[in-house]
Amino acid sequence: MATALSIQNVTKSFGDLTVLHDLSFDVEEGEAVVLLGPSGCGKTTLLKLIAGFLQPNAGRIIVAGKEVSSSYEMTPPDQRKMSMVFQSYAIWPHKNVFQNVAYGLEIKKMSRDEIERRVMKALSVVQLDGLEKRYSTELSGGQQQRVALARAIVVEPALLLLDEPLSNLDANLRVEMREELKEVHDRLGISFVYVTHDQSEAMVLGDRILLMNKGLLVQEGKPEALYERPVSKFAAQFIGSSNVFSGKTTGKRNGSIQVQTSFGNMTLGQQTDVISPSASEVDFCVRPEWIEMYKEKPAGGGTNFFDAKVTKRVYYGRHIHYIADLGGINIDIETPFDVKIPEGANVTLSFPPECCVCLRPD
Amino acid sequence: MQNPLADTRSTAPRAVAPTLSTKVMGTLRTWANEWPRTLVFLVISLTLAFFILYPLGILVHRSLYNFETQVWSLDNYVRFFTQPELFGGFLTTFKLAGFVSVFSLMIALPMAWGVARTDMPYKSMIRALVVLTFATPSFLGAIGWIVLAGPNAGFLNEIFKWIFGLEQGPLNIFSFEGMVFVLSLYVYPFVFFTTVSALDNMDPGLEDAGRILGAGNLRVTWTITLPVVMPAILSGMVLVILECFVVFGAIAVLGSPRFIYTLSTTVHALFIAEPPQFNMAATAATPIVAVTACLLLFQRLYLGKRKFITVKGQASAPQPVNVGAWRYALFGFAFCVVATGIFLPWVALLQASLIKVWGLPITWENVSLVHYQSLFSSELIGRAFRNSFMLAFGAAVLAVLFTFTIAWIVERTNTPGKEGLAMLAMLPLSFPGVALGTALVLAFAGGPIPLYGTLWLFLIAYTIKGTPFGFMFARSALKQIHEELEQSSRALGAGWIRTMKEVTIPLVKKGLLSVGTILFAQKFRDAQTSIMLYAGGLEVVSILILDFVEESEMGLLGAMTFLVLCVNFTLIMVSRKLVGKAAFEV
Repeated sequence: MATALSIQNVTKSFGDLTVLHDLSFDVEEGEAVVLLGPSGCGKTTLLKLIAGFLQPNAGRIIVAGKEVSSSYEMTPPDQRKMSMVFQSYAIWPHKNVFQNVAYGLEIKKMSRDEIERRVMKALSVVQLDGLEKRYSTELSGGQQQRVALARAIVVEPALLLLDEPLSNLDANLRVEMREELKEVHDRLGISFVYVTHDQSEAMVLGDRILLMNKGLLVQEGKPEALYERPVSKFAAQFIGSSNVFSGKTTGKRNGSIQVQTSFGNMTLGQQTDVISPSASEVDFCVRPEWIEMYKEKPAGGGTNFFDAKVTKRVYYGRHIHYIADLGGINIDIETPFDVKIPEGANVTLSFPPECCVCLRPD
Repeated sequence: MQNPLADTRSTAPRAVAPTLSTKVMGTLRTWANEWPRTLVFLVISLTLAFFILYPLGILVHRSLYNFETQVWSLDNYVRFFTQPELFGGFLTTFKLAGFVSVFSLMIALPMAWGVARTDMPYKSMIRALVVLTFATPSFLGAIGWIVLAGPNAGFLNEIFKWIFGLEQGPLNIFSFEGMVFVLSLYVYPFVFFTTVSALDNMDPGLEDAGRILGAGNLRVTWTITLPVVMPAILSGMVLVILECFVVFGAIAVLGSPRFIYTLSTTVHALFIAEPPQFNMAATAATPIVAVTACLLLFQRLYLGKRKFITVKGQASAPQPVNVGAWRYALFGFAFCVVATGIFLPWVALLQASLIKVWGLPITWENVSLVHYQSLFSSELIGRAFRNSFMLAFGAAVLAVLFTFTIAWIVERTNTPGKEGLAMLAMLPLSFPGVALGTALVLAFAGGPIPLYGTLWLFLIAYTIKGTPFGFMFARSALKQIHEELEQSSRALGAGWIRTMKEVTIPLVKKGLLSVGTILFAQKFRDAQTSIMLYAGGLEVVSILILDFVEESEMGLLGAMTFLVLCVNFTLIMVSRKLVGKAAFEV
């Protein structure tokens, strides 16, 4: 596959504030890449750099093999053959739905008939048939979002940039729209660069997720990789939730690490290669649903078994959330809905070594 | 388990550091790629910079350079501060500013409080009438008051003589007191508008909190409301003082019969003296520039920081204070003020314009349209109206075009030097009409660009005078347009010009039209700049009005002023209609 977009060592500062530090990544043709991170991590800035509304202080941006941005030269946004869906939607209030969507085609000087045909097709893709005469003030948030999407895809861009397109919608609509976006992506086969702070959006839409924090790329990979093998404390806690512990290394044996923690000795079996061989301290995480909880200690015991006491139980319907006290530390545990252990019960917790993921120091 | 980072991270080689020539060529190519934008930016910025900075430089040069001894010196300033007839104008201006600001406060504060905070009746009517007062230039108001309170045949004097059987009318508008009276009557809206808008936007919770702690209405007003809106009041005061330093027309018509001069009329007198004292005129104009610049700086740096009013669009409207029977007293006061400012002069002007011979009793035989007939048949007057119309129209269009472009550069780009450009657009604010007029004449009489004696110089002057107001308005209009509305057009392949044409301008159109209308109205009756630029054959409306005052042509004066006032009011109302509120109402 050819590379649609290549970000090379891009740095961007506003005055003294550096919002992106020496960032590099590629986007392949047809790939959907999600930039995920908390607000203020620089992801929207990155999108505006790609679109050409901002200029990098260092590094280059290459689109389809052609350099479009550097610290000294910029190709204007209108010559980049991209489209963008803005967070504010940016539906022009003085144009109706049809005129909004037709705009990009008029600029390409297409014939009236061709414009009409394509606009109608785009509107049916986003399920807005029959609303072409409406103005933005007469549309709901979800409909405005669809207009913005139709306007962006109707010009058949090689690369579509989406800036938190769902953040202004209510929760149910957000779930519905993210499925639709996924479908549009799969059907049209255009490359997506999608910015969001919502991890489930990232999981659903991303062929690949780029996790960002404070202007740095924290981790990059498929959704499964990010969830199952977070590389840092930030990654472990920003995507899903995690119990994060730290301990002293006491030994290493064929791919696993022995550590001493405040509540006992443990064996860590996952991602041990991110720890430098000489490190004496190690952070590791365990997801709440990976912990096994027993009413009675299983006969024979095993690795990483500890006695604890349930202090809180919250019923969520689909699952049950427990908090257990383990040597003075609160542990979050999630179990299926049918586990019935009362508050105050003494239990045994099991942390399978392959679920104890070693973390890089932040 | 392999590291998930290993297989996906970009393997692109680190870019080689670019050479200087690559950088320069790249930057040039970037500008060239956006050539329509670059061209517009360059033409507009350079033109504006030239026509503002060059005359200002000439003004300073003229005042600081001794042309006889060919050296730089402060001689002119020493002369200015030691010659009583020159320095006198300086003192009169300060005295005038002091009295007018005190009277403006006394008029504006009770009215503002009544309108914004009490149960006074007909509040919105009073608000609208204050807008009308503000739309009456003090110059034209002064002429109305000459008709009303001129020492010989003033309308009010006639009434007093008739009632009390006096030999001589008691009122004389041609006096320092007359100036203070007329100016206060037309500049108090500055304080009124800033105070009312502060009171309107103030969080009512602040007052409620005081009330719940047991403070009475008056105590809350005195200890909470007044201190909170104080920065706004001071801000209005600064504008009033500024106006006193800048004002020309009203002072010229009221002061010259008794030889009372302020700084601005002194500048004009030096300018038309025989022989003309250009260097002294430039010297006398610089203190005006300096004082106005200081006041504006004070307003920006000090008052800007002390703004307590931050709440906008509060959830609940404040509970009006119940002032009992005082509500009628408040209304009576407010109504008297607006009536004195608008109705009396309007009626007087209309009456003067309809009476055949000024001073004769008002009888049916005496009433005629003869003055209007001569107004419309006079070739001179027709030319003045045509000139004023074309100049005001041209200047409004140019000022809007220039300031919109500069506002766009300042708001939407990171062009180096854009802050300087913003300051440039605001600079004419500290450049009152007489000073600007002096500077332009000195810069463009003869020399490489001889524009003096043509209408072009009027056009330049009017345009420059319009830039601060146009810029402030264009900037706030652009701030209200989300930049993503423009970016989405660029992203879809539209160039800069097309984006402006299809997206930005349609969205700010109403606001620009409104500001253009107000600029047109202001320039249509501009006196202070025109009087300096005037040369035979270049009549504009205000020049003729000043001539009629001098020649005591009361009938023609009344008719002409009445017409100009009508044009003015209509335009202000149009502009108010366009954006729901007059642009100056904050």
